[in-house]
Amino acid sequence: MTLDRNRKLSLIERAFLATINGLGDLVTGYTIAFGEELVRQHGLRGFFKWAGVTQKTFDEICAHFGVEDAHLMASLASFWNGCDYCAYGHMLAHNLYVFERTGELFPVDEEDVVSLMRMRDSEVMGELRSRLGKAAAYARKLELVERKNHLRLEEGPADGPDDKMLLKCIALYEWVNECSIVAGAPAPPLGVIAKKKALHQRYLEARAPERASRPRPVAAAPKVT
Amino acid sequence: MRGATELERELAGELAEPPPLGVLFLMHGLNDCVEAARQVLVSLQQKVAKHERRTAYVDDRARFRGMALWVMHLAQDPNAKAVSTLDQGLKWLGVRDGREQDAAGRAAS
Repeated sequence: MTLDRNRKLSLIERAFLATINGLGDLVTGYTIAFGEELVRQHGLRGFFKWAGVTQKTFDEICAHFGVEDAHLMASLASFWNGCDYCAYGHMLAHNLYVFERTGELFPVDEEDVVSLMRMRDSEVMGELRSRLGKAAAYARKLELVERKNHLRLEEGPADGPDDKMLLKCIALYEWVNECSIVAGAPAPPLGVIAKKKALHQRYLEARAPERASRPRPVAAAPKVT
Repeated sequence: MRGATELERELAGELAEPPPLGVLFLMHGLNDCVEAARQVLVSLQQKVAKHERRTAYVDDRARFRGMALWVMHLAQDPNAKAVSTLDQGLKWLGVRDGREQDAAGRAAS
């Protein structure tokens, strides 16, 4: 099915989307901002196929890395594709899991996603190494970040079960971002942790002073309009 | 905006010429791309798609790869892809798979 952005969704498609959004909000605590684009691109039958395969693949990634790190990998996969909506939403979900488990704020704030995207990839990796390298607790996450970057740049052969899942994650978000690219940050937490509204509120309160005091990352090349 | 329009005009002549070469956009010098220029790029990409040429957008900044993905998605060109390195771009020009089909296949495998 080809995309015609001038095509208005049919009554059935609109009713379907409203139902899906209502159910999504109830079951997962959030709705995605690009549902209309998915229906326009894939049609109703294609939407179900898309949802089934993407959920199954994300479940596999969660089973391998754990749900917390799966969201971090989903965020970075989307980040490298330039999709700020998914990069933000999965980073927020990841950061909520970290905050719930440890009471700590992850050193990469989801609010940093857009400004980091203006940087060159090598500068982004430098920033991630600097922030994650400060705490031993984040050694595994940094290892995954490094490996994912290596694999996405196709700088060497894949090796072992981690690499297999990282490649699957890269492919999954190439597919997801095809439609999510029409949406923009900010995004809700893109995971079931979105249901924990009180946790999200506590997290935002904890972030507030840190956001006020920490300088934002700045890209080497200034924006010229 | 003017850059995008000039690019569209220049490429229109090139596309009409055989042989069917791929199109490589190196975006490293780009500092910004306003909404109107993006729409010109969508129109340009639709013309490229009509000629079934492979296209690679190369940039080492996520922001501009995202912009390129937005352009090729709206243009509905399955033969275009945004990549980080020149090597990846040249590799993409040499294969036959469509972008979304290729990603879906790898994700589900």
